[in-house]
Amino acid sequence: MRIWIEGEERDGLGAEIAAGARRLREGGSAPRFLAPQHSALLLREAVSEEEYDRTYSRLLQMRCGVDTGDFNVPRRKGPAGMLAGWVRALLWRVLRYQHERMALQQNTINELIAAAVEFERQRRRRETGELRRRIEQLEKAAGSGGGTG
Amino acid sequence: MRRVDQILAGYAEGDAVSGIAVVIRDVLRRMGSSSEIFSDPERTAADRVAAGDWRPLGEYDGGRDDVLIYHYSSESPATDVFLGTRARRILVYHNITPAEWYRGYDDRIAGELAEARSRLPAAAGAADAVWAVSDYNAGELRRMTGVGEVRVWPPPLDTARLDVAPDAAEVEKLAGGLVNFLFVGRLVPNKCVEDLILAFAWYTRAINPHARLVLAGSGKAVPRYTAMLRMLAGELKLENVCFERFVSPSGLAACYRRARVFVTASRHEGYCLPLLEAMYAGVPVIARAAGGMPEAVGSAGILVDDFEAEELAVVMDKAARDGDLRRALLASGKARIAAETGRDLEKELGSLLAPFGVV
Repeated sequence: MRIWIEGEERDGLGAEIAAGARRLREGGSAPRFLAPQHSALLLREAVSEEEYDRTYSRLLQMRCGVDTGDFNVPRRKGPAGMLAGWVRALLWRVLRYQHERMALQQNTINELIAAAVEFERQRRRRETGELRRRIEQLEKAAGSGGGTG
Repeated sequence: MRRVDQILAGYAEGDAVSGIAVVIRDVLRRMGSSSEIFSDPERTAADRVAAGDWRPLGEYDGGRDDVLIYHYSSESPATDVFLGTRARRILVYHNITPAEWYRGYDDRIAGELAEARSRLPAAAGAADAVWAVSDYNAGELRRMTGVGEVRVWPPPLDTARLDVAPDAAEVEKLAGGLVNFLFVGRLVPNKCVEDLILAFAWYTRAINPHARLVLAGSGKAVPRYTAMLRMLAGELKLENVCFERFVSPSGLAACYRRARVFVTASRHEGYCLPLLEAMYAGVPVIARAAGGMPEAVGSAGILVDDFEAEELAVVMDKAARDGDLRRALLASGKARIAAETGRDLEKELGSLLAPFGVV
């Protein structure tokens, strides 16, 4: 990487930052990135709205579920932070019955909406295709039958 | 006294080009000229309609002795008004985002941007003078149109807009002891906000989980792009990416008040006034060395290029925690702002408009 501080390029600092980034990569705390074919970043590759919408609809259907699994609760340093983090993690488990019930309801709604978006997309695509075909037929008919005055 | 009016493609609160037009109008009026802003009613925001400080494009009727300034940034009926007027013409080039950035997200906007670029040579060729808001823009304009003389006039920082009391509720919302990284700008593809989200994912997972990325800017312009950003933040389980949408001046003041570092990874900017706004608010800035941003940053702030997301995360951490670096950045930012606020806008505009006989 290249870095400029207050208008001056700093090669040494750039190397220091690259080394720091390498330590992050090797440190085992990397974010959990999805595979490229499942990531939202795939949408950047779309070259038309049609392609974007098709990819979006596919990605949306993969994301309907609310994740209720255990997760790392961020903890502040010191005994109070440790205690607060432990209580939060415990509460998540104790209240699992409640939040899973709500997650089920939310997942159902999400899946129904995602399906509705896909229905709508397919219907519009079919209708647009049909209209295009009819316009082409009309243009062809007008072209071959013209000139009779 | 000669009339010096301005035409814009659109007019809205918080829009950089609109803000510059307002400053120019106010300076011209102080200089004794009659000056109005004309905008396309279709693209004039409701807040401006209510304020009534503009007129519809169709009402522009400048004569031979008048001067018309056209802020060129996208395809608009304003181009026809500019080409058809009898008034003397000045074109101010604010840059046109290359259409490729919008393809797939909004094909209509992409088409408009391509059209704006194709009509630029005619508009520049018809102008009696051409200005640009940065050397970067001036260079691009010369390459695209072949015009010879382009005068560079960096956009002024409107400090009155920033000197407002911060929104107390927003200040409270952004509290909580988290390190706040702030981005200000519309959520549009060329600003590469996804690069900030990826860097923030590294920062919050591998460096400091007690942090927040605040994205202060409307996501309405390109909804598909905003949807992609929200999907990305969701899949990375980043609860602390805050989509603040459009913020009022007092909301913006609150964002700056709570920000530890201002950061942008934009790849295409004509200038980028929010960098100066952040410096004015005493917030260190990190920007990609792209477009006109090195000119806006000047000898203050951090510029980065050719970086991976985790490298930007390390730079963000350094800017947030390194006391010596922060002190140096704040001092250089203050000097940059002193130079900016010390500008004599009446003298600058007077010099630019002297060939038109405007005192």
